[in-house]
Amino acid sequence: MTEQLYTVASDSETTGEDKSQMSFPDVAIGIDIGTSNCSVAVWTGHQVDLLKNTRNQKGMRSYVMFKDDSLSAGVTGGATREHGHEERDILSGSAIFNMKRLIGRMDTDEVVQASKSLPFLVQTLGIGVRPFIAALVNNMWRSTTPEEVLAIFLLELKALVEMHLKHPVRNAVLTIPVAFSRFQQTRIERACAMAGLHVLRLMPEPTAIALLYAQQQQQLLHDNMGSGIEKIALIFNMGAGYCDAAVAATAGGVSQIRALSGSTVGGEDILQNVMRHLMPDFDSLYAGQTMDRIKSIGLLRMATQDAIHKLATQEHVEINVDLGGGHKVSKILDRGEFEKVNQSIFEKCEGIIKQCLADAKLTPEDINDVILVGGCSRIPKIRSVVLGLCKKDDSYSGIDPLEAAVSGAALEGAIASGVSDPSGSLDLLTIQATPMNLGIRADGGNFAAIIPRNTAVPARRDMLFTTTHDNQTEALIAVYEGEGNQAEDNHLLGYFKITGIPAAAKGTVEINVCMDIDAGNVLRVFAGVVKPQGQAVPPFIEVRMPTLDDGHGWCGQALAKMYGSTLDVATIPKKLHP
Amino acid sequence: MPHLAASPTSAAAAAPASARVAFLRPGRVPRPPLQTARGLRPDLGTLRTAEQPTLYDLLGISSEGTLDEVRAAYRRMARKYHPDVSPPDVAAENTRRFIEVQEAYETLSDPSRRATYDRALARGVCRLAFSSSRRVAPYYYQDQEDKSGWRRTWGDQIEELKRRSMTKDSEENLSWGARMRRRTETSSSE
Repeated sequence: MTEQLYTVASDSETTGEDKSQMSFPDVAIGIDIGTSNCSVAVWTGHQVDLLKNTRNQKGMRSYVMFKDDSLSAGVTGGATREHGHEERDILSGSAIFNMKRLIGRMDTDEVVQASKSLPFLVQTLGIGVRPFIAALVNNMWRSTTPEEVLAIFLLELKALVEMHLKHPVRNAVLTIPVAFSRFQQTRIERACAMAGLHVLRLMPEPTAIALLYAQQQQQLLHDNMGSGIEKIALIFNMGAGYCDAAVAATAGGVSQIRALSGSTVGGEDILQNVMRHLMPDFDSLYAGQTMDRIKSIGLLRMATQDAIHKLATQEHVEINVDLGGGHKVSKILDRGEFEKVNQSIFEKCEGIIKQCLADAKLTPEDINDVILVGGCSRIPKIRSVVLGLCKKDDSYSGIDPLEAAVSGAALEGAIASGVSDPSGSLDLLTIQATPMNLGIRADGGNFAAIIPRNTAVPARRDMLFTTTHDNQTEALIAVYEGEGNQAEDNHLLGYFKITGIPAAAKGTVEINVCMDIDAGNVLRVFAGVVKPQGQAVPPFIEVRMPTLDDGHGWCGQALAKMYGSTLDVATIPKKLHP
Repeated sequence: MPHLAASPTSAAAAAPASARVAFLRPGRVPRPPLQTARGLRPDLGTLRTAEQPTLYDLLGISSEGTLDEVRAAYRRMARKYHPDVSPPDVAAENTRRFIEVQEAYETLSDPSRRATYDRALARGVCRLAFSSSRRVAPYYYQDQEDKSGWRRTWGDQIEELKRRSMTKDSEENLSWGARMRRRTETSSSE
């Protein structure tokens, strides 16, 4: 990669950069890796700047192109080509995109199944292992992994930042969807490590926006325009891959996350719904990827995407596209039809917001501002759904829907790197909350939550468990994350055994399981026998989670098959009040 | 298990009434966090002769404080103790304090939980307002490099839990927040 591939966002700021470089060379950068677009921002010493690539874009298409022996990612992506041509290239099968939807998922996951209609190869065997993905290189499928693709992209992104800052970059704050499991988070960390980046924080996207909002409220206060009273913001973020909501209480520069909820639903699902609506026999026509079919899907995809974008401002749109092989789509799609096709998606969005409000124990009247961000926030129906639920006429206008997340990440990067700004614009704090319940399997297949969702982080909670058999000397602690009442409905993060439990009647031994999340969001599980006492009691155990690599489903089933209920633990029944 | 040895000595050295506090000392290794704590929150050491601060003390407000004052105090304490804004050398101790403050805030910002707490406080039932933080916190958040330290301190915690489970009325030994949570859970599961 040569220097001239990149341009600096603003040449006039060279002197300012030199200064910032000297005073804090290790400031973490902010990265928003989107399903469809990525952006990167840095704290320049007085403000957050988004960096642009050679094509003067702040939002860079997320993909990696595999061609012959060379790889190029969306950061530079065919620098001189025109947009249309490039999109066709991305859809030619030679590029891998949507990594954020695929990363850390098993081939039994419905999101992976839905990705099989993408132009590159997503092969699933449905046995609970990593899917096989491959890009078309010289008419051959060449295999890769989502982590690898993301790492290549991040490497190019890192080079862009270093070109701009003129010094090496090590630390980064990345935004992630609320719905990301801890296992998926480890995959993001691994991809970053492959690209030579150290992850300082993984920040749920709406919380990054909350931080930006807190900063703006502080600014208003300094300008004597704000009241200093606590303000409640509902943040709704919907991009191509994920949808998140958060309720944040903000005052005095402190942004307290009251509730988080999210789901893997986004623009990609809307796109696929509309494609299937336009081509009712989509699945039978496009089963099995041949060159013709890939090209045809690509054309349909582009036409559909274009139509959806136009429907944001138009009441109806005309679609005329020749897909080749005698297939043609010629249709006028109106907004009502579009909304009907995507009814289930809008209902999911409603569910996410309702849950978030219920978890925060707030009514729509309590909300001061509704912040709508992400590419899908441009869809009129999404806006009306969110604003309707919050009983507001309009959304908060001070935040750019596409730049908010990355700006918040860069702010957090500066704060977490220990930068302080004389003007007080970094005098901010986010109190994060856990997006999902954390607990263990107990009482048969049940899930006992030890740290419930929306607990403030850092957090530490414990719970007592007991044996389920007489003279049970070993107990299995299986740690799960999720919302299901049954352990198996949740993500298995890891498991370990407590051995050497003193022989005793069932239900008399007490095992303490303690979960600890530190400020860096690292989860540790401690467990030990606390009753009976004595020298015979085994040492306690500390396990950093997740311990698992692939195959969540497998492990749980294999453990059940091997041990049945012999190692089970039970919650200790709540004692009656005296 | 070497950490077990600490318990009998400390228990023997202390009067029965303050066994809980004496027990904590081994966990508080050479650094003087108690001093630091007093320095940061001078009201605690002087106002209350008993070893247990109330939730109001933790937030540094009076028991007549309004909801807005509770929130403002919580934010003030968060700005002081949240690990993100703490200098590295006191981050561990501050994390522990932050969790205490968080629990105080969660109780006092919920009107019904606060009312129950106030009634109990008036009766003197809740003198052990914050036993859970004593049970949990001081040990683990030691310096990360002090490996044997954290191991010992976790051991202390286990020890404390053992001691706690020996007593008949286990609910009395729970923190206020934990007790309220348990009640909420019980009532919601009924």
